Amino acid sequence: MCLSKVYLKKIDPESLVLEEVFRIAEDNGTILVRSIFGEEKKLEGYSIGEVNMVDNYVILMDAGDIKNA
Amino acid sequence: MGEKQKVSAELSISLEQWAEESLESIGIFKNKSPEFERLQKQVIRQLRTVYSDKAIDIFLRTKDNRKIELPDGFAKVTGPCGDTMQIFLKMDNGVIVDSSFQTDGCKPSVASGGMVAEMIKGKNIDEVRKYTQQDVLDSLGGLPEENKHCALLAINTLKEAIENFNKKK
Repeated sequence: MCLSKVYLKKIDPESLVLEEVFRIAEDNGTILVRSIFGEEKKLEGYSIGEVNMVDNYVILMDAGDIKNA
Repeated sequence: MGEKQKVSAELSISLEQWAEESLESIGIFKNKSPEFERLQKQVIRQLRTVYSDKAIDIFLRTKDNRKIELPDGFAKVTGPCGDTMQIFLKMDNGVIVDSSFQTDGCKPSVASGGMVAEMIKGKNIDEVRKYTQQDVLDSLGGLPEENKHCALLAINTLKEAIENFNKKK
């Protein structure tokens, strides 16, 4: 897959978590995002809301929001 | 089950596998992500929006993604995107009796290579040398704008393979 941009809740420059992401690991409500530049971000209480393989982005949502959707 | 339904069922299974592989490639695994099935369905919907059934069928099920030993015509071309395509031709009396391709490129490159290999089999070389990028795109039912260069890479590699055959004659 091409490298993705990862956003929190919506596609918006201010919601951008990380660019050039190659790995998104999900484990017990924790999301670990890694970029090819070695940057890493850990987000608690979130889940993967949307993966877009065509436009190459991922949106993370509050875990509760996804369960209630 | 009719042939059309059978193909459609096979395509669905192949798409599920492709979506699964795509998600796994970024670290989202079936046994780890509680959202896996929902995300897999999202990806399948996206793929079906962007690619035609023909393109999906070719890049998931082509049997021409292989090397031909001692080919009569061969070329290896690297496109501006960095993807490399190889085309192998086996000839008999001016007719392409077998053809295959190999690529390290993305799925649209695989589709383009597979389409070219399928299009040229059993055809006379004089007819094949007239094929264009547009012929490949038309046969695939189109490709997204950003992937159209994959069809050009396949056709350029084919032309080089024909040149290689002509030089050997």
